[in-house]
Amino acid sequence: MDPVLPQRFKERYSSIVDDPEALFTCLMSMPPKSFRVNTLKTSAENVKARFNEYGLKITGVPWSNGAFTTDSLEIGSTLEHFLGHIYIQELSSMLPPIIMQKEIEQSHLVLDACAAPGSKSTQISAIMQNSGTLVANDVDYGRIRALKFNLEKCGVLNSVIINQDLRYFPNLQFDSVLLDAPCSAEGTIRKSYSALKLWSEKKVFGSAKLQQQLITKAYDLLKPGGVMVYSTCTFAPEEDEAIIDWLIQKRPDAKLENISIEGLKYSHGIEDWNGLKFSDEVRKAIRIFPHYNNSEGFFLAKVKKND
Amino acid sequence: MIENCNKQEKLLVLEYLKERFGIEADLFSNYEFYSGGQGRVYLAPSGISNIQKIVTVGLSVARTSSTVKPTTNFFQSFGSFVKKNIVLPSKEKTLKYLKGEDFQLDELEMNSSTEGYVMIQYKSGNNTFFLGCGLFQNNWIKNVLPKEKRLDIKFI
Repeated sequence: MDPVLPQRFKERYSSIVDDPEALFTCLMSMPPKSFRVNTLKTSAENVKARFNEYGLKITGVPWSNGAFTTDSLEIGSTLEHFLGHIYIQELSSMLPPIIMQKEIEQSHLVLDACAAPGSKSTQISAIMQNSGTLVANDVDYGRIRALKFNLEKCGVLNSVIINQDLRYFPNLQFDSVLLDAPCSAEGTIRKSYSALKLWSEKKVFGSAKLQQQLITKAYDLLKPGGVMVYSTCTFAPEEDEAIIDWLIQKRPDAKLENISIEGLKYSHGIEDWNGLKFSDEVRKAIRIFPHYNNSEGFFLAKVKKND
Repeated sequence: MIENCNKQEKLLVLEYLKERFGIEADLFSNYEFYSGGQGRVYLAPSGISNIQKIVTVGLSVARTSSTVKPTTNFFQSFGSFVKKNIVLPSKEKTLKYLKGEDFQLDELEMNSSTEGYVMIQYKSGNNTFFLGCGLFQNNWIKNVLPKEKRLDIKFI
């Protein structure tokens, strides 16, 4: 039986998306295969030339020099994949390190708080050009193996892998923090029907409670003047704007930064949801609906800790 | 358990890399050597002693339990600095290597290498690729590519 979107799911999101039918149709289609060039090992020009020799068509995206899509199902069978010259990664998942690129470049100590399997950690290390220290943490020991494998495959030298529940993380102070929080993963429905089958509002509410604890701790690990990016791969405002609003209330020195990515379509955070009213600061956050850029769904907020 | 390498272990690795592969020690001056479980030696940032509950760090350079064995990931990252004991298998044999199979080398492919661990290198047009480590014995390469890395590559 073909999977269908639950009626309740449709009801929830019809009011916050510009074209609900376009979203729901897109969610029932597979996303394109995509990958990122690992600049620790090669360049986008080299990869383009090699794929051209192979006769594998790849297409760049307007918002990043190193991100490509392809119709080919065989990018995993290339020498470049074996060597870690490319990293197979969903397009939206590349965005968190991109929106904090300047801050990462100036950082000596960066935390990827929920790092496994390592797609964003490898991207952060590439931005740091293997200098400074990247602390890649994950609570799930079973996923640490994949994290280690991917970091080493990509030639990452500046990493320290930690296996710790973020809520009990030692009180270090980081220049930049990425919290790509565990979530109800509604944005991944296109590639994972299990996310659709397991969807429920109860799951959304359950994720939100954990996210409140995680964002508070992640923020407390940030140096004054530092920047944290909070991201999820879900549309649920309970896990997105409400979590940012929670942080602003709990930590008054937290200020949102505007996000601008040239060539990427997105919408801004919403101030009202199901009777809840959020701070107008949350409008600075952005939401990527899958039909905007033929990707998966994502939510991103960039938070600065004032000096 | 990750801890700073003792001087003896660090020297053992550095001398091996210099003697067998011609790699100069100052290449690693921006990083620190660490010792992990099972004789593994890692290269990672210095000044991390204040971080607790470390599972692992940086890049695994070599294993030193019985003899020194460089890792595939090390060659893939530092291959351009290797000056000797580089073998150059044909495309067909390179595909065997990537799948995890052993293969025999002819004189030209041996590239004057001596028996022991060697770096497997592949050239395609103007591109040179540093693939990983192999054990060279009796004109054969014994495949030491980790199982999880082995792939049936179609585009090379």
